[in-house]
Amino acid sequence: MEKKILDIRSLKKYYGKGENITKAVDGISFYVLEGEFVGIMGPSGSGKTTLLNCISSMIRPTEGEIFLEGENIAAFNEKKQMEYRGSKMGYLFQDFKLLDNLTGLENIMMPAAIHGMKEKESRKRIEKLTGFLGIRRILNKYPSQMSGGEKQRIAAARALLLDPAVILADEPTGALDTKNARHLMDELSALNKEMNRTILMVTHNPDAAAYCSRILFLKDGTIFHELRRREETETQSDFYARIADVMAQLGGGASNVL
Amino acid sequence: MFFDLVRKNGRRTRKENGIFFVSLIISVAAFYIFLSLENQDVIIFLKTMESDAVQKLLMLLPAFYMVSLFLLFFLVWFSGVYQLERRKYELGVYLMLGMKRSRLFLLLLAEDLWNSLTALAVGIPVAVFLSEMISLITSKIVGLGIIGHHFSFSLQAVVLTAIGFAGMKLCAFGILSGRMARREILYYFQDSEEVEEKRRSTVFAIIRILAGVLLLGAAYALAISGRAWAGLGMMSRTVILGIAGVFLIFSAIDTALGGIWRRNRGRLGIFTFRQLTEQVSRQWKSLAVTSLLFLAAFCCLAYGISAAHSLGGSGTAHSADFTFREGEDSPEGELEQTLTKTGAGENLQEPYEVRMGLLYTQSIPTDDPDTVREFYYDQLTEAAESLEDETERTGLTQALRYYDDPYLINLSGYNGIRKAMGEEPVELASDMVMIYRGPQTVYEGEISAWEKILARDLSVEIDGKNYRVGSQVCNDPLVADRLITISEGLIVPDEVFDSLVGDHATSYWNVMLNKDLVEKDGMMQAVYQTNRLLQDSGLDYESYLQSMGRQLFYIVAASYLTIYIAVILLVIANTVISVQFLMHQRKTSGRCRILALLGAGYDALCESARSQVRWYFLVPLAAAVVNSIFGLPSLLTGLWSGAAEDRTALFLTGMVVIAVLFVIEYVYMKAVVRLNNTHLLHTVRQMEEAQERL
Repeated sequence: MEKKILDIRSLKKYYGKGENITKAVDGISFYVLEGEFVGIMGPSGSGKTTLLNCISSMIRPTEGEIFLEGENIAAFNEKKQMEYRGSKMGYLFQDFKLLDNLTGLENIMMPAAIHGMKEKESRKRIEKLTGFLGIRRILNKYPSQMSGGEKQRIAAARALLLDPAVILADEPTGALDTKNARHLMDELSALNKEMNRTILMVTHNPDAAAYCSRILFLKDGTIFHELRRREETETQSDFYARIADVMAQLGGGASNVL
Repeated sequence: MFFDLVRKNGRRTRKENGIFFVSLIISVAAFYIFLSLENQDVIIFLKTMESDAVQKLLMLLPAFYMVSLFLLFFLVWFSGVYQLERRKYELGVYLMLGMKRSRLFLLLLAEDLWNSLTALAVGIPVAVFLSEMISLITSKIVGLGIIGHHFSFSLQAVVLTAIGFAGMKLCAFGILSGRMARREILYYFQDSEEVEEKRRSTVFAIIRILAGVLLLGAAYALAISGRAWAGLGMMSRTVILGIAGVFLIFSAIDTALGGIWRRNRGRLGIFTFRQLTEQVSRQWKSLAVTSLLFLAAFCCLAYGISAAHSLGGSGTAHSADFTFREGEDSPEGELEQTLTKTGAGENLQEPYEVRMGLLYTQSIPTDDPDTVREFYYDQLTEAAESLEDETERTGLTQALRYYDDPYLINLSGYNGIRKAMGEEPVELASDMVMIYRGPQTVYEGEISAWEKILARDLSVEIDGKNYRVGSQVCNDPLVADRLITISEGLIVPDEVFDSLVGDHATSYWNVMLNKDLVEKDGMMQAVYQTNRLLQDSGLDYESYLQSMGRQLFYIVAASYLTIYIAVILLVIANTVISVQFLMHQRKTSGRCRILALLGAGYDALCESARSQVRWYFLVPLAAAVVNSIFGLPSLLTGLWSGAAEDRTALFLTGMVVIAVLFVIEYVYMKAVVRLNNTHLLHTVRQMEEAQERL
């Protein structure tokens, strides 16, 4: 049986009190297996980002459990959460979140410094990662001297450095043009397939979502639908067509609802 | 509603921005103390005897007031920039909600005025208290006593302080508002500015540092050698050289220190290094200015405190507290009678008479040929010319040039002086004289030169008669007032004095204060009381204190002014540096959020910020300390005319001042760290809120 990397049980995140309560996430349960590439889609306000923020320990859920490799991170104290951030979970953001006053290499090395990894070991890993992502020539550049695609690849290398159990990606292609977005998704897909990385990605872009092996559709804080790609038989464009169908059912047109 | 908002925001600003609020209070206090100088006991006292000089000092106050206001402008400006930067998001929201810019700025202005009023309300009582304390302490130190102290409150000083403050605030606020008004609304919502990292050439940086060190070295060489003090032109050139040197060094200091910062092994070492490099390379101009301000403050404080320190030495040995000059035809015993009549006699000891008169020689034209005496002192000149040491030879030969017509002083009078000073009387045979040199005109090493030649049994000739010259040189002050001095004289036995000077002699009656009174009330107070009794007596007299008063005045003026300037400079330098640091931290708080996301805890972020604060303060401070090692000797060369021991004392005071200033800086750094930690805690703990904004 495949190992459950993430196991979310009855997760709730409510804002406000009494009559003014807003249920951003309202009892979501799902799991992510090792080596899976799971996408989360849904209209604005459906709770995608809140769900991801709960999983990434940026906000505390109101109720429920989040098991990462068998440990309930929702119950962690702040110190323990800090240890998990960046080491057990890698992040990719729409706006890259690179430190603009550090070079590419320094940005990638930052989690290693924070979590106390030996420099020799981190150098070895960087060598491998930068080769895989094709970013060696930009390592000494500052973010302001890089293109959007380059920035996201530096961010990807940073996310992968400590060999996290799962990569959480929040609209990673959101700030990229079509060509660079496709390029990045190819690389994420390769990471998933060739290096067996587990990825959980929030996106509104069906193009990007078509790279996933499974997609959860959220509506009003609950899971509304789930799509699983038929690995053996289904092409990426067929999967894209099915995604587009669900989106149409969700609200009558992709451009309108997502 | 409007006023509620004003009050609430005002309170929040004071709480979040305590460091500037305290700076503002210190400035208010310094302003009041300075403006109410007139009411200080020591100034009131000096006014009674040195009214002209005090008046001149008080006339200088408006100029200092203007200069202080100008400096204060920067304090207000920097804290204003910080305030607006900190609140720009909130201001942007007001604008987005449709608040007119004019109304928004009215709101800010009202808040600012409210805070200024609070600063005044806290600052003025503190200032009044400090002013009284300074007044009492100074009185005590100078020996004025604190019995006659009256509580004083200067409404004029309060009004001037308030007007100055309000004026500066309005002025700075107007310019800041103008700048803000021109911004697009989007600016208010931009979190961090675009960073363009420039790679600088290391070689070029080294060249700049070397050039800076050379320029600075040249400036100090000019200042310490004394050439800089030759004239305004030379001084300006030295100052420009020095400032240019400091600026050149600071323009490359990030490269110079980068090597040290890079070695930082903390968890966020590389981040700390980059933050520091970025901040220092961007703010090098203000860091250079801050360093110069620190230096100026160091020097002012060291000078002011050692000047104040020398106040304690006002009771030095002297021969008379009062000297009465007897009118030519005043009847004998009149002095005693008047003293008893005015009641001053009770304060005084027995008077003793000192007589002196010019020896009229051929060199002085006179109507009465009978009084002309022949005076030859060739043996003295020859002996001086035969001295081996060149400095001694030229010095003494020069001094002897003016011996053509010396003053004669009677022996019994001079012995009276010696007795009053607690010294052994001088003995002279009837064919002997002694050399007298006024204490203020004697140069270093002169007495030993005299003693060398006088050991040879020399003599002088007066009216054809030879007098042996005693081997001792006398140089005790003859009268109470130090400014009436006789530089060249001969002490002669009384009968010789009578025969040579006779009717031309001037009599001075010296008198000391009762020891009990001095012990009880202090020297200054005793003289002050006696002075008051003697004011209307019609007697012609001088008091020791009058000459002391003159010196005291210079010292008080120098120490008050320099300490005042130092305090203002320190407050401004610290505010500038704190504001810049905090602004940079705020602008780059997004980076801390990213680090927190990557797992850096609050502790690690605080540790990095602490290290940044330390370096950011240390760079200008250390530069100023290194500069002051040369700066203080330069100041000594140019401004200090005192004795060598005083110079050492001044230098030691300088070192103590630097140590004290480090403590002050430590307190400031702590305050900045605390303020920044609160901000970091907000950034890290409220990830929820932060995340929504990201």
